[in-house]
Amino acid sequence: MRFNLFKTLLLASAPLALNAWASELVVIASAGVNLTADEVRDVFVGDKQLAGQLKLVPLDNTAAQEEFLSKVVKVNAGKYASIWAKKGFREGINPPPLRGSDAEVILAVKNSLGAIGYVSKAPADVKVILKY
Amino acid sequence: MTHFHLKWALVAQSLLLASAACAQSLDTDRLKALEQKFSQSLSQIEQLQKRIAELEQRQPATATTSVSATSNPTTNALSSTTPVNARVDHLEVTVANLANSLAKSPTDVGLQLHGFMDVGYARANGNAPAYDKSGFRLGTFDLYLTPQLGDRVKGLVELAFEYNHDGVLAADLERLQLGYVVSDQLTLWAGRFHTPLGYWNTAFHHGAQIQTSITRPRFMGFEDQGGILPVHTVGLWMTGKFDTRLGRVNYDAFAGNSASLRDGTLNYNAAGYDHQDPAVGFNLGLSPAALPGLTVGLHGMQHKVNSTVAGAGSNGLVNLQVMGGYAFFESSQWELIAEYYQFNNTDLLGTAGTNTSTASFVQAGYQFLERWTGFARYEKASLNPGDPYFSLMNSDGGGTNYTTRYGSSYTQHTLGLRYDLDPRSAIKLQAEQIVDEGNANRPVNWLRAQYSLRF
Repeated sequence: MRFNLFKTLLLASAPLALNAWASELVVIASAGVNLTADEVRDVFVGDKQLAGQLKLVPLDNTAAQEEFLSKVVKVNAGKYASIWAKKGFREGINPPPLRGSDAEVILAVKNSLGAIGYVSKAPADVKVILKY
Repeated sequence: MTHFHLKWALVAQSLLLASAACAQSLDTDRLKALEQKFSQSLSQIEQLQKRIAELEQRQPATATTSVSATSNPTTNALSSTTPVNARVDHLEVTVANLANSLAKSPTDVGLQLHGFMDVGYARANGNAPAYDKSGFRLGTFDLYLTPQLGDRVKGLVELAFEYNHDGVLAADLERLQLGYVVSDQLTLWAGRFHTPLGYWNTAFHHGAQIQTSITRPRFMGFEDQGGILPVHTVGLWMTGKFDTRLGRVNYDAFAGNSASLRDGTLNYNAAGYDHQDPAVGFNLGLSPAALPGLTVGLHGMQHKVNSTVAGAGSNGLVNLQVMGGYAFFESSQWELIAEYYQFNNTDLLGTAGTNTSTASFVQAGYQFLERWTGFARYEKASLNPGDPYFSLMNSDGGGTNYTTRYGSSYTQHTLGLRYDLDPRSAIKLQAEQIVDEGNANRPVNWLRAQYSLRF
């Protein structure tokens, strides 16, 4: 009886787990930008500004920021803001400009050399460098 | 019984499935609709851009037409009053504005202005020096700009407004740096910068809101407030970081004007040096890959410090040599900072020879219940009174010179509590006890409160 109850509860929670599993996070970049996961993190905390001779332009995305910070940068929003406050104050670097949606990030990445952003769904016509 | 449980579980599962599917379906529908609208808008913009390009190509012909139209009032009247033309003109302007907005570089965010401000209250027992008054206080209003001029050239300008002990407002060009990013491993700066010693001085400085405690360690005070270290330098600074198998290495190397003592107060000589011997220094840190959040390092600097007294000229020359180490650890809850400085100062004019002194602090902060941080700090300075570098700081006899207390040995205990109202503002309470070596039976106790924010 206990076994059956456990099994049915497990089955009941399956859709929720699948729903969480299905959410996607994709890092996109303009042509010529190839970065590892660690390097992407470095770019978004201001530790990496160049890829070869190319100036990197990270873009934050309000729509997917929470997931990106959790999966890639591995900090919460408060900590992320604190990192940039200290980084900006010490090193004179500005935090990534904030875009409001996937579409805005995709458009900016398409139009800007060295741009790197993240979206919740892989776009068809932009280079995807990492998937989570 | 088993069937009963199974039935309820299936009902629960169906409900969950239904609600999840329903919510997902609603979200998906909304997203699809939004995406569709956006795609349509983009498509329209592209079409309009093409149309504008076509119109622009035809512009000379249009101009000719226009000129000829002027000579023909009937045609002109027809052209300007046609609703289609008016609509095209309006659309042309709208699309041009939209295209400009979209084509704008994502880094082109204008000249960003940042800053810090704080106000507070402080109350001392009767042992505090007369110049250090209790009461409400205006802290520092600090503004800084970080212009990015292209891919490699950047600047950092910081202006601080603060009241001194006499209540006189002083504006100080804290930093004026022009930089060039050679690579991720090397950035060059020129100008006035925060001397890269230890962790605290470059990480917090005038940034009251990002600093856990209300006050900095006393021996690291600003030059014009009695500090014993040249915490600013005017000169050249190279800094960078690179990865090794052990972890990330951060380095700083700098050279600039040697500091001077003017009437006992340190001066970083922004307008030129007293003598040609430059100040030099370094900071070398390692953030081990095996211990995320930890940085340990070594630092050092050397200045040839000329001391002058108004009306009396030079009264001393000291080779200031500082060596030491530091450690910094930060996790989601802990912040630990420790710094150690050893002075080996040599009297270059008198007979005092070389004297050794030390100063250090250790501070621990622990964040709890998300917004609260408790912190404690212990600091101690054992400064050799026979060292002319420190005795010259006390050379005015303690009248208006705030360094009188700072150039002498002391021990300080600090306890405090911080509450973050939001990521950009904090309220802090702090209690501290300072025991000056020359006045050990009269400890100075302070209670402080501060409200600080950044923008």
